Amino acid sequence: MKILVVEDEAMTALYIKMMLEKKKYTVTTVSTGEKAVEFCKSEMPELVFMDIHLAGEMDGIEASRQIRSYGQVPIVFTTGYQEDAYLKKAEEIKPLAYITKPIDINIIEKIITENFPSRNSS
Amino acid sequence: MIIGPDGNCIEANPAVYSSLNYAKNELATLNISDILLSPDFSFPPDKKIKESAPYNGELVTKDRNHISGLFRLIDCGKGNSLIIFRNYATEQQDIAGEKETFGKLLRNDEHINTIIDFLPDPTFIIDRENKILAWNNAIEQLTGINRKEMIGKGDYQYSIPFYGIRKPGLVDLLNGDSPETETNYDSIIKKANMVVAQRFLPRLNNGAGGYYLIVASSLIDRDGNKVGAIESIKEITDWKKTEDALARSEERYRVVSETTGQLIYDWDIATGDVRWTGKIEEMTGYSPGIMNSFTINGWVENIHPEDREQARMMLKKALKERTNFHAQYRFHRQDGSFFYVEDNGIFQYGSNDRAVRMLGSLQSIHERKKAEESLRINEARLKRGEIVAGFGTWEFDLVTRQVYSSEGARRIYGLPDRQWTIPEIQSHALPEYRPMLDDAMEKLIKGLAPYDVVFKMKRPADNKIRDIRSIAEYDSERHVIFGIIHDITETNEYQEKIKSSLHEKETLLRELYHRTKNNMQVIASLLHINSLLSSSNEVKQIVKDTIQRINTIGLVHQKLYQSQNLSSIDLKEYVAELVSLLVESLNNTKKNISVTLDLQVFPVLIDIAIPCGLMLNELVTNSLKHAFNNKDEGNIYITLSRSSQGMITLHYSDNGSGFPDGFDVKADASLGLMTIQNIGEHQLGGSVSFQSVNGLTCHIEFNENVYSQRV
Repeated sequence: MKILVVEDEAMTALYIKMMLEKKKYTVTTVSTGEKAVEFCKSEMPELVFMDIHLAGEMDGIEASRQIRSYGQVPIVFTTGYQEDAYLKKAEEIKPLAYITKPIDINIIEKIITENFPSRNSS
Repeated sequence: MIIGPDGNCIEANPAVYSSLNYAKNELATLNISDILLSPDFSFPPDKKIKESAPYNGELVTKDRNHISGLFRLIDCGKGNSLIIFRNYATEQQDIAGEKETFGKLLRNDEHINTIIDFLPDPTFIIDRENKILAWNNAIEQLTGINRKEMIGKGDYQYSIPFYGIRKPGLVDLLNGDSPETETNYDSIIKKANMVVAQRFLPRLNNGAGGYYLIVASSLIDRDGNKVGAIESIKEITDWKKTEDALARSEERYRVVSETTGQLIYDWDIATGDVRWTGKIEEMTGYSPGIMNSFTINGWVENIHPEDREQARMMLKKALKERTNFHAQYRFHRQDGSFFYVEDNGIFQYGSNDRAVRMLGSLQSIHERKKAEESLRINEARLKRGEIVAGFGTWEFDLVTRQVYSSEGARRIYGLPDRQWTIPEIQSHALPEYRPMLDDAMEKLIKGLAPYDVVFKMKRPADNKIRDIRSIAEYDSERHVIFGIIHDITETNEYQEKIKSSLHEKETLLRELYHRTKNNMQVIASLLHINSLLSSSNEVKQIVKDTIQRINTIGLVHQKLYQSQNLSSIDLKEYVAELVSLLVESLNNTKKNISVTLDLQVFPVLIDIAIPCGLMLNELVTNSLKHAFNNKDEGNIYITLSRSSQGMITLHYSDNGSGFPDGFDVKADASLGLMTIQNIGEHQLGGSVSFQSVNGLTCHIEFNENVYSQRV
């Protein structure tokens, strides 16, 4: 299963990548919304973990909106805090779930197994 | 000789005209200034002189010879004066033979009567046996009794014309005290050989009676023996009436002046004397005696130097223009201070049409002046205050539609000082504010709401838009609206700057909390990654515990940047979220763990929140790791409260296995328990107690004031 992790904090991105790869998932990490959109243009993943607050011009919500224009990939938003204005905007994307940081790998795993029961790591 | 008011000779005895070589009828053509020269005295004599001291003088004879001697003047009434002249030679001779001469005179009725007749006042003389020796023309006229009926009579015969009966008179008081006799007189002055008294004599003046001054004197011979007495009577009825009228008048002055708090003055312009009546001492500190000793020059000298010239000029002006005098000035007190007075005077004019007197009053206006001065100072302060604070006052007269505006108000509106109407003033507010302003004013007048409005106006002087705050009150009795306007343009600008600056700081602080939390997450991620590289379960557990503690602290920072005031967080919200995360994260075995929270809502500083979070982290971790090992389910109870004294109580319990038997908290504590004790007791200065009965209970208490607010 191909998973895209969009996270501007490198160590957090690395941690998620290592944890998921340990579970035998194929993980690609990018640090900006623009790179995420670019990636999805050419190679649509099966699941995206998207940080709402990203460094750079494009935030996670805008990146998700653009990714959705290429395909209906499930998106899980990761966020450091709940801010009503952002959540309202994020809701338009109809995300699969929200995960509040700090990232708990057990929660990520739970989301995958509950939403993709037939897809084990590959 | 006797001279009239103009100094012309009226009568003289033979000694005079024979000494001067004039015939008797020639003297009537002469004036005293032609025949009597004196270095000490000038004619005509002062009316005030009743009996003068001896003056040096020279009589000028018809053939221009001079006779040196002494003379005295005696007032004879009606402006006439008696002049008695003695040349020096006669004076010396007479002094030597005076007593003898007098003794002879007493023995010679004819001579006595000649002398006595000469006297203008009614007079009689008695001898030592109280027999009447002389009874002059004047007393004949006064009593209507001829001297023939009186001469030689004794036994108080002299009292019959006055009293109708025989009784002791004033002459009899010369022989000794007689209290009964003294009571007959209004006033008695007794000297060595003289008694002076006043009384009403009812039988005189054809039965109409009159007041009389009576003088009695003993007659002493050269051996010092009393040989008789002389009594002279002078009518003073008119004088007495005048004196009584004056006394009544002065009493009225006194009453008026004292009741009105004024000093009444009477300035005799000819003499310069000023008489004062009223509460002189109370107002000026001067005694009445000292005050009355001030002449007009004294009055001028008592005026404050800064006011003196103006007062003097106004007095001259009033005299010249024949108007009333009116002035205000500061008058000197005896203690050196000054007080403000209002002086109003009216001139009285004499027969020559010249001012002879000024009657007036001096009223203290000190309090009024001080109040005026205070008002002036306060007005200046208000004016200054208006400039400094940028406010002004206004008053709308709803009847006349006129506007009173202070200088400050006109400055704010940029309007010149003239009478403005209400519509003119209102027209300067920007049109979009007019409905609101009209509505506010209507509500004010109807008593529905206070008038406190903020609006923008265009200042006509420079076309600048100004922010104005206006507060007003309505006076329904006067139909007037009084208000204050404040130019708050600069204040608003400053407030906007402050708001902007504060917002910027808040954003930065929020960002700082955010980054702190992110940094903690990075640390947690680093630890995670490292633990992945380790095959040791022990290492993995240590890392996991550490990450949990880091996240506990990170959650506080998250709550802080989500909070409104950036310095405190709601402890209830934090604890609930923390415990939820901990249970979800640590409950790996999927046991049925229920958490019961009873949390009071109250804010705490970051310094309280983090220690609380760390202690709860250890307690929940301990419960989930150890308490329910032999159970499929478990309960956790957490209560949190704060007393009115600021004591925070955190009570934690589970229904797990509790401590193992023989467990000593002090000796056997794990890192987690040590953390709880250290934080609770050392960091928070509170108390921590554990109990292991039907599970583990931990009771923590500390004061929230252990840390003061930092942000």
